Amino acid sequence: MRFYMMTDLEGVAGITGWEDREDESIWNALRRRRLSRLLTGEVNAAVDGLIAGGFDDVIVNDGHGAGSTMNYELADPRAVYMHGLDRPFWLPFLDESCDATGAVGAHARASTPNANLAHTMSGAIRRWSFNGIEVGETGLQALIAGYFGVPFVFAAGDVHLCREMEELVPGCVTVAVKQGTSLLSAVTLAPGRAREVIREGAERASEAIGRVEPLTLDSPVVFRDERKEPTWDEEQPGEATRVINAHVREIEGDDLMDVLMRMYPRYERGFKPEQWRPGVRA
Amino acid sequence: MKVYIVTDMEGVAGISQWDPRHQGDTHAGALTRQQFSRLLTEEVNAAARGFFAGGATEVIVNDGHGSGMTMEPELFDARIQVFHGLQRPNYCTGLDETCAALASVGTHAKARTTMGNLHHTMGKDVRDYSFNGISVGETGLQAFLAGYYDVPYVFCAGDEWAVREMQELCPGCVGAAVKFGTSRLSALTAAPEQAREIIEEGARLSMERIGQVEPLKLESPVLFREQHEQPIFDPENQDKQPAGRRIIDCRTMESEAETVKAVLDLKYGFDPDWTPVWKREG
Repeated sequence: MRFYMMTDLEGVAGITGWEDREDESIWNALRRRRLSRLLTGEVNAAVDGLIAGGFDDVIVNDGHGAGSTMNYELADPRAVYMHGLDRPFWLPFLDESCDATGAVGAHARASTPNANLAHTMSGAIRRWSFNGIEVGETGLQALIAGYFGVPFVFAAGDVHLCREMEELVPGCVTVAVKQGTSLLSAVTLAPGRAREVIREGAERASEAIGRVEPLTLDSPVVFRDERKEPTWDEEQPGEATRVINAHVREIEGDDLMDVLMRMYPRYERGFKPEQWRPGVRA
Repeated sequence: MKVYIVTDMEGVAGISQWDPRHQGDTHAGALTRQQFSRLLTEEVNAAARGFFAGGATEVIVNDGHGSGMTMEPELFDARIQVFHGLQRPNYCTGLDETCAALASVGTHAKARTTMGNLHHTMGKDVRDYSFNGISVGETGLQAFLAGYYDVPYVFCAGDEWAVREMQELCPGCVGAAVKFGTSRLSALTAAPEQAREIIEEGARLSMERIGQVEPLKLESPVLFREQHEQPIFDPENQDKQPAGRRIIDCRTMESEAETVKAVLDLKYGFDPDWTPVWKREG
């Protein structure tokens, strides 16, 4: 039974500020190492719980920032890890072969009041929706999984993200490891306690398969992309199907994947890697 | 029975980006480099454990990446000897007829292997290397040099794409696939702990292939052809080339000599008569 886990940094317990890869001070280099350990500890807890709950194949997507945020010296050897830049797709290997998906270290979508480190992809975005369904990064993950018929069953992160996902995919298991009190503040569990509750929640995630419907969209799919700053120009629409105004564009496609390929022209349409696992090739 | 291991960094599990030594002197980069160094060294140690378990009596490691001192001496398995440093007297010093087998750890695919993680051949500018029309990457080149001494290449640990490349070139060699490149800068990786188990098992198994895998041989004379991405050769400088070196066009150089060893000495300007002290003194 295969689980696809997305990871991010901003929803990890003990982290309350942005990573900041520009600050090259010694302090920040050491701080980033700590963030990496905190993330990896939560991922390991989730992997442990998922395996205890019946999954025997876990793919972890090291999804934050530059794509190699985890500390692999600490990573659980029972999972495999998608990492790096220059990816052929945002969520490589998430496809119909997966039985369920979920997220660790997840944060609420942009414009969520009081949510810690709330954002959607970049700081430029105010609101994203697909066919009127508002989503953040984790919601988009649930939609992509749904496109492949895979249910979103587990989320760990800020309580605001947990509520967001409970509303979007009723029946999923959520684990709140912190309670955002503003964009840059939160009440957090101690990392050790956070790992305990993540492990417990992850162990119950498999029970949500069958209970949670894969999140799907009717055709055509209309993506609405609202920015904080005036960004779009009717005279130069780019990939946009419609420029609504300086803040809002829409992209329309036959289905979700069609829209995603228009949103991200650098991704490879139809990318379908072979199923690979580490091993001796004799 | 002596096993000679060439190491590199780009094929190590948990690494998906170029060595940060190329990205300026930052604190974060220094910590990353130390971690990469540990990741590499532990894979080499795992290979050494496997070779010794499989019957090797001596393991010589060529610290091959970058500036030639990438491994972490404080972590060396006590039984290995490591050849490291700059300003080397020849290519793969110590690889000679006294070795029973050649192996590689941290192996990446050759230049232009589209999905190979961190694929390249020597520098980032090389498009292809070939011996008598047979395309090779770094590890293929080393396997041919070993063949000159009648030494077979028996074990490849690294990216799945490197394993496939070497198994095609040297049928019968054992692979330990610890990651699967999905683009030049991304990969699905085993956790280092799992990678080390796979490498140890594969290395042990590969000792049985000594005597079964044919050393790679070339007809004399040996024609080495290098093609570059950028136009770096000036055809008007042909008369300044040593005998045996021909500029074909601004991207292509050929070197011809009686043997692989001679052609590499010619290409890199090594003294063909250099003899290590342990041979001079018996």
